[in-house]
Amino acid sequence: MELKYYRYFAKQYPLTVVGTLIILIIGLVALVAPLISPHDPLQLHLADRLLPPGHTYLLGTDEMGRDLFSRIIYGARLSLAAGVGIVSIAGIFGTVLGSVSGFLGGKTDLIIMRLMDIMLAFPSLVLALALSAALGPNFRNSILAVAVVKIPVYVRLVRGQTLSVKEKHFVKAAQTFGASKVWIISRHIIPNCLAPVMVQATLGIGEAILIAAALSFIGLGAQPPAAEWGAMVSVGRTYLLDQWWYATFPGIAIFITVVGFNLFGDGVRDLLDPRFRH
Amino acid sequence: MEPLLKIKDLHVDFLSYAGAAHALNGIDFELFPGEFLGLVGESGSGKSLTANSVLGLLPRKNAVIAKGSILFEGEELVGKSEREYQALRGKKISMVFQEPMNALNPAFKIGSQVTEILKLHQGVTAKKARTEAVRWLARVRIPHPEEIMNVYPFELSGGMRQRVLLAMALSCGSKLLLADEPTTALDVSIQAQILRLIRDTTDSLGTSVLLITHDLAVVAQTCQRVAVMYSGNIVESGPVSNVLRLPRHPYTKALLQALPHLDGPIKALQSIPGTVPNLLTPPSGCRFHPRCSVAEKRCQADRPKLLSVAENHYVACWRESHHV
Amino acid sequence: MNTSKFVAKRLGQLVLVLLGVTLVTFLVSHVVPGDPARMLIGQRADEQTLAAMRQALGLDKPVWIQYLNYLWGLIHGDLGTSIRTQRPVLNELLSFFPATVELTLFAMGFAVSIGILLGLLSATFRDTLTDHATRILAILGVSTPLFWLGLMALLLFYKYLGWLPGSGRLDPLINPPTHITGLYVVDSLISGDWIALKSSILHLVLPSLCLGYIQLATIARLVRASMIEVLELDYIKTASANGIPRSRIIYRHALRNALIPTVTIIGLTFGELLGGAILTETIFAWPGMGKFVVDSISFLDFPAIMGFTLVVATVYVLINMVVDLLYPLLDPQIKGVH
Repeated sequence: MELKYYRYFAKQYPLTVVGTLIILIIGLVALVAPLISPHDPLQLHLADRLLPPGHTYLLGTDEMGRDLFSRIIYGARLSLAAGVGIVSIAGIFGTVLGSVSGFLGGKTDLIIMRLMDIMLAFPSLVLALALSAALGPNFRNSILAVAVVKIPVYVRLVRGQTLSVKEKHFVKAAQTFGASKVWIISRHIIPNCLAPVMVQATLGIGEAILIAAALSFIGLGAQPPAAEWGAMVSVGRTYLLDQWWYATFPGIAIFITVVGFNLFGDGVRDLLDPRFRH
Repeated sequence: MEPLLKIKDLHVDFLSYAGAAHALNGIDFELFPGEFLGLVGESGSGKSLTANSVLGLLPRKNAVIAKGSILFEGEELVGKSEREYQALRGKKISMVFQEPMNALNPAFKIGSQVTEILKLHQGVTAKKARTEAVRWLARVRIPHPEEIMNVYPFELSGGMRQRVLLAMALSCGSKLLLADEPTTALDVSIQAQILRLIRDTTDSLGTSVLLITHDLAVVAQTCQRVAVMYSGNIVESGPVSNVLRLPRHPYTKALLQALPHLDGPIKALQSIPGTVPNLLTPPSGCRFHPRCSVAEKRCQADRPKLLSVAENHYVACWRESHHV
Repeated sequence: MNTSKFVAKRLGQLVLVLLGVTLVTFLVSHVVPGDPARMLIGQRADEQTLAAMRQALGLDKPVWIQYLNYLWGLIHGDLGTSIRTQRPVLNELLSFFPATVELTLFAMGFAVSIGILLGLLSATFRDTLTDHATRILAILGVSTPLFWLGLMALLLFYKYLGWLPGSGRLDPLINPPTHITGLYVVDSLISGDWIALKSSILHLVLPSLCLGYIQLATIARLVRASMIEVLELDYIKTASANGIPRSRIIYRHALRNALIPTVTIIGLTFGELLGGAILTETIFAWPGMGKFVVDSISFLDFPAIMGFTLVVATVYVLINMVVDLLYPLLDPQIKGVH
């Protein structure tokens, strides 16, 4: 593609471009965190506790004298991992369940869909909270919990898609040749559902990061001293009124990252949705 | 007699990314008080656009009146503000549309929709508006009008809804009714009823009607005069008896040949070859020439003017002798 | 289908969903953790105590009997005993319930009223500055971490400007109004306690605006989309052709129809607000169920967490049912179908 095309795109969808740039920058920061962070994110400097932003510690220090700037840089790794991990797990399980449900129909479909309805009867954060408390409070479990909560979104999407693909000639043809169900689902149904699943996953990353951070904030996700943004805000809250920077900066990091993903996701949806295409 | 509506050299452009499409390319016609004029053409010929231009209902963003004038009772409508148009709409000029199923607001009862207009234009009290509304519903031959006042649109058939819409359009004393394919979406058995209703009601009120249709049979049944449109131009106009019996323009002839005759001998229906031209890149000269069986060289080069061939009968075609 | 049949069918569905909800909380509390007995008494307990605990909890029985026991307890209002406070979980939750209701209702009122207004402006002045601003606000809204927003609001309005109180439901020096509904604003209105009324409203401002802000954006986008769709419809053209002024068309003819789909998401919004209340209540020390559950987390107070989950899901399901039942009142076409 030519430069001209990019320029046209940037003019037409400035917000999408901003979102893409944000994601690229945060991704890069996460990648080269050890190279660019001025301090070790876990290194204590007990003499330098709760220092305001300054020369040595760009964004100040926490109650153990750890450098907040370095911790925020490293935090990008955890948040990106959480966001991508959650939508990947939910997307994969949701796709399998949804395609099986839609393709087999009958009792299987009924049971899977009723289960999804029941999961949707809980507000996301509430079910995520209960699950992650049951699994035990740590970072990995909080991701699993949020992923499980998000599965119904993908199941519904893929099931709908499956129902329409199922009627297509190539699926009917495969059936008459005696292809097995597993073969049809994996070779014909799922590949045809991938595009909408990818869009949904892209749109879901921002929210996933937010819920994971919220779980850390209430003490169910990453545990201190891990350099996780939600957990940092949580501890920083104790010092809010006197050391404003502690809770403020990690929160800004979450905010910017999620804005990036949401702008990007919005753009992807607009591009792929024929109703929005000019 | 002074015409009620006089349209002169009206040009309407659609603006798009690909350029301006001349959707109306210089329209001229007049409509006299009490007259019933049919405006005929294929879809995309610009019939509805003409009616919408009169009422100032063009899509705001991308359609503009590029040139020309629309005189109503001697008053120029082109360039009027939205507020000035509002005072005309429903009071002096009304319109009924093709799709009665969706033309009434589903959230309100019939009564509230009819009385709203009466209260708005006539400033009458709620009580007076209600009796007026019932009277109008009865006038368009709706059975049990009092009960109909209290039902929602979805409870009515398409024909009944079109009657309600007609009552609404006429209730404030409009002098001109623009009827945009008012029967196309209805069952065939209802179409004739509604047409007769429109003709009888407007006859007794002295309202002029501009009936937009693609159906020459409808024109034959209801209109006194007809104007045939093709790709943003009027190609022929005149009294219905003349135009339908002795059509002069090749397009009108083709349209008539495409019409099944119940009383005539059974013969193969002819469809007109080719398609309605793309308005962004219209053919040069006479826009009909690519589809015309008798086109000549000059048809490609220059656009023919609408000229008189008989009393009140006008044709825009190079092959008519007067052009020679 | 007539109305009573519709209601009966909806109630039947409700019972099924609620059963499903209990199944989920049962699985989460009895099956997922591996050993609930150990969870209850801690890692250092010896085998004998554990075995006794298992027996006391009925954990030695087959899973389906455990579930029936669990259900039996629920029917009798037994949500277990809080490990942290040693009081029945149901009583604890009931005492915190009104505070949460008051907070979510105010947040809801804010989100719905401003959301509709913004959506309306956005659709009316489509592709103008107002529209773009609303779009950006919406994206920022769904991207803001609610817990961080609360903290920033505290810093600005409580610490630096000193305009608003930052924690609790009332000034500590003011007596709560006579308990009638448990909602301080309502109770102080009824009993004519103006001092408590003023204080409780002031205390509501920050938490409810923060909580509502996130949902406001969603509602605004939905109203905009719905409004734009309606404004393209034939009956809007009829209204224009009949000379009805544009403003009246927008506020009377279009808005009414555009709001019908919006009502369904009000139920969904409530779920988000109940979830968000966990964070908001924690930050503003609002004595509601959300703060209660967060306080329970550090004690791994399982009965409290599961009781909260169950109660919130039940409330959420009930609200959505009420919305479903009210829907026909707004949409005459649906009313005709039932």
